[in-house]
Amino acid sequence: MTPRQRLLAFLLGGMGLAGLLAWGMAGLPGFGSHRAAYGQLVTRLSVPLRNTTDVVTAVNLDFRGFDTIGEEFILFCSITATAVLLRRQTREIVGAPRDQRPGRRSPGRDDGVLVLGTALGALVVCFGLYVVGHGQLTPGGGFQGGAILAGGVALLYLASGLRAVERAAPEWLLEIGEAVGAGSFVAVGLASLAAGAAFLQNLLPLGTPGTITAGGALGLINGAVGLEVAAGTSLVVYLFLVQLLRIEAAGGG
Amino acid sequence: MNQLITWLPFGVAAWLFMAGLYGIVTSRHLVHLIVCLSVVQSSTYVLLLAVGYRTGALAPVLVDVPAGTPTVDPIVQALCLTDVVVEVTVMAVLLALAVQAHKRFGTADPARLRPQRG
Amino acid sequence: MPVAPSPSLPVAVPLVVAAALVVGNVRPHRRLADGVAIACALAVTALCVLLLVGSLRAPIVYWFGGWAPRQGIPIGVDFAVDPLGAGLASLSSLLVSAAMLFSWRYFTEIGQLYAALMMVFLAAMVAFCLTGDLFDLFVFFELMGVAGFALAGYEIEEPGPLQGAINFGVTNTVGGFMTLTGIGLLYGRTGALNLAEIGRALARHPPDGLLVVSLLLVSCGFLVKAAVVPFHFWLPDAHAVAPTPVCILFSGVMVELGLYGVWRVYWTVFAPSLGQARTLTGLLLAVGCLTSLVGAVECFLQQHLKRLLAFSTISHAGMFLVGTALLSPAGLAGTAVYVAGHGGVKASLFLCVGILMHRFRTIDAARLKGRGARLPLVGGLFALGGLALGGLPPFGTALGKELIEDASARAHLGGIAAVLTVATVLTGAAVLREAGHVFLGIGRLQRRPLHEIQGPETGGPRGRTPPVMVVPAVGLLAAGLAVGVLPGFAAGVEAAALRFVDSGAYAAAVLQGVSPPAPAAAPTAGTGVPEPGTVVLSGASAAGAVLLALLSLYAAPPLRRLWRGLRGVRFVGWLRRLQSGDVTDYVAWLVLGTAIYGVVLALALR
Repeated sequence: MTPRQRLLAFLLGGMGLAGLLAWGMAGLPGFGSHRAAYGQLVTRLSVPLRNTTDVVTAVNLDFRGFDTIGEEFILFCSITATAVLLRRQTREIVGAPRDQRPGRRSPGRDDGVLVLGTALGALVVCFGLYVVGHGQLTPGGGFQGGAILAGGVALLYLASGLRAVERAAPEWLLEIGEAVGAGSFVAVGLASLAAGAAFLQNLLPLGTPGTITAGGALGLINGAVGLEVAAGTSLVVYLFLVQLLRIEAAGGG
Repeated sequence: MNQLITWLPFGVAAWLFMAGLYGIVTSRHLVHLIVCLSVVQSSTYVLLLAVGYRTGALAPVLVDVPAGTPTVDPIVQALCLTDVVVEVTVMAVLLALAVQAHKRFGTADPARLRPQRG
Repeated sequence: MPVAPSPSLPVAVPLVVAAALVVGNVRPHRRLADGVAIACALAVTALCVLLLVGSLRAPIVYWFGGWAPRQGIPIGVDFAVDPLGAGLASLSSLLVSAAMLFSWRYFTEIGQLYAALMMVFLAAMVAFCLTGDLFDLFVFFELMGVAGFALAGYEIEEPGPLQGAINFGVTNTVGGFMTLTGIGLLYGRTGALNLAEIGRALARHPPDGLLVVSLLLVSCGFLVKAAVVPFHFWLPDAHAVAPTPVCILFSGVMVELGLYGVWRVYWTVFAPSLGQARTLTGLLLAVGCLTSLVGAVECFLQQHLKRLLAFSTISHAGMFLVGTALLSPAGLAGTAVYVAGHGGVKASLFLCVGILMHRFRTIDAARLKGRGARLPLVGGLFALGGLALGGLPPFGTALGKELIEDASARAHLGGIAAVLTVATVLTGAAVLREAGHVFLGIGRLQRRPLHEIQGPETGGPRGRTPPVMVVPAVGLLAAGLAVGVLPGFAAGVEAAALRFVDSGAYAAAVLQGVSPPAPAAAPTAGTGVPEPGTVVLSGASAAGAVLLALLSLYAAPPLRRLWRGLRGVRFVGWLRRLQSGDVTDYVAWLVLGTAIYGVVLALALR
């Protein structure tokens, strides 16, 4: 289709779709009046049954834990897919990082940036670990903390360059971390199965609400998810950096 | 004014959905297309979170909160939370394809990727 | 009577194996990885068959995390295994086993990651078939999509796979967002994510705009995967370039899963509110017939063997939609039998094409004239596959087609049989024409060679065809035949279909744990034996396919003159140009199609 025909088709379809969306949304209860029993029941059960004060984490990893396994494996699959799709092609070579080669045009790295970046990076990692570990008490958990940790790796690149990232978090380590994190989540579920209960049933001692040990298996699963998200997202960032900075066509260019 | 507040979040969701789709259909660069795709995804977050909101209720974190206090819906928050992180990596896969396509075709314009003929 | 295994196992095991394969990728060992993957896929097949047997009397309802419904509200995620779902899961895992066997020792570039992606794909398909939760359905739909477009674009050094994967990825992701929006609307009204619970809560209100729009959005997302017109444009692009083992999964089961998703949601969520909506039948029948004919015509015009088979899959997807749109257990049963037969036959055809690709480095029919004469077994399989697609009894494809035609005749919609026959004649003729051209070298058909868009898939010696490639092809075709001749299979499918459409029994089983009494054999269900008239029609359509193939091989110029005289060429040219390869076109069609279907649905259900 020509661009004009395409736009016309979209405008026609878009107006119809927008009208339909409006019609559908008109049937929703007004904003702010949600009273459904499902959410309320889960909120009421979260502390007495699972000693978990962060209901969202309890929903994610316990009540609807199987959904989260699916989501986590979308993450896992996407990361594996990115590794497959960004691999070095047969006509390419992996050279030295382009932003650190002699004779490059960009300014050199400042010592102040190096020190500050490293210090902040350490802070970010601490904060990320805190968020991962405290998911059972306050907003947080594996997904959020893992993303913060991956930010730490990005910060490390900005401060010290690609070679430092490769020394601190080599690719093979990130791949293993990612796979171990994903596999552990399923393994926890299988362990419950092996113990005679349902898949992913929370069988560990539940601790006291408001402490790190609350929630039983939730702490374990938070750790697994945090490992996977952190390693996986860092790996994705690293793969794109390698594609940008190191991979080039053989024979220069 | 009350009516506006009642329908605004859903309107925003619908607007983001359509605007993102418009961006995709008129896109001339794959990276732009993929970013528009994430705009469409954002509309689903807005819809889900808006659907679960309850006026005057607290966040579903029960530290030091008496039992029985109304909270907003935790289910949709849980759904959105995992979706946000997963979106990053799904977009990464598409961007990886875009990068390789740019290297292979010399262009990231979807219309100039050579059509397959059978 | 063996105890049914935990339904979580066929999903958890491949996921753990996939994670283990990625860990092992640090020191890759191809033989071990492939062996583990094949063993895992076979184990999952066995588990799914056991689940199928276990669910024959009553659905197996399994609550994850031990969260059975409390105070009448389901708070956990469940698997509700019934025979049709377990059957589809078994088909998926069987095809994955065959695919992994076919790719033994080949595709060496990415080490073990290919096997890991296939295991994740397998887990997603099985979970999609067994789940009873709407958001779960969406999550595993997305997982199937991501694994799918990673596998489709795997050959990054060729232009074709990149384009095919991008088109696949973008359109299916947009479809997924439509489904998620529909889920949001449903949650807003019912506050539930469990299929049975949503159905029950929805039925408390009379049908209104929200119900219609959520039905539209959820279905359109799944219909993108099912490659129904006008959401079908991504499929030929992706099929033409995906590695052969991945193609057999796309065509053999992934497209069918899209339709399964639509009907699973319809019968559990919307049927209690809508009942037997004749107007919905009308819309879907029209869409199905359109898809079927468009796919068939395009299929007939292709010379790239994989694209030919891809368009034939679109045509069959249309036929499956027609069968299920009748909204009757008999139609559903016929479709299920057709899906089973088609899965085996289409997979076998793709494997034959894969063998041609391995031996001759090309699958452009124009470059392959007569070269297949060295492969008589493959040629025989290909020709048999073409006859099966054309409707030759007693193949499973023919039986399914006959059952659908009987069901439509009972519903006083006899014209359906004509559409199905035309589509099967065209698709069968296309395959048979290539069988003659490539393997026998007969005919005077002249075609220009295509611009090659992808290189060879496999390494290794080209002089002989390895048994690991031929054995799955033979086995799958035999399975397609077995579906049609196995006594009692069709009757069993009829009984399973009766249970699939029984929303009340499903809700009782899931929400209250009450196993329903065995339904009395309703007189309208049929016994799985087709009417003699339709069997004759099938035979005639197979014969017609052979005739058309011979005509196109020997009499192409006069046929073209006739066709031009009928002014058909301009329309066909326009149709072919629509398949532009430009993903922005496809998304525009997606939006337009959804809007049109939505308006028709709104007018029909008001």
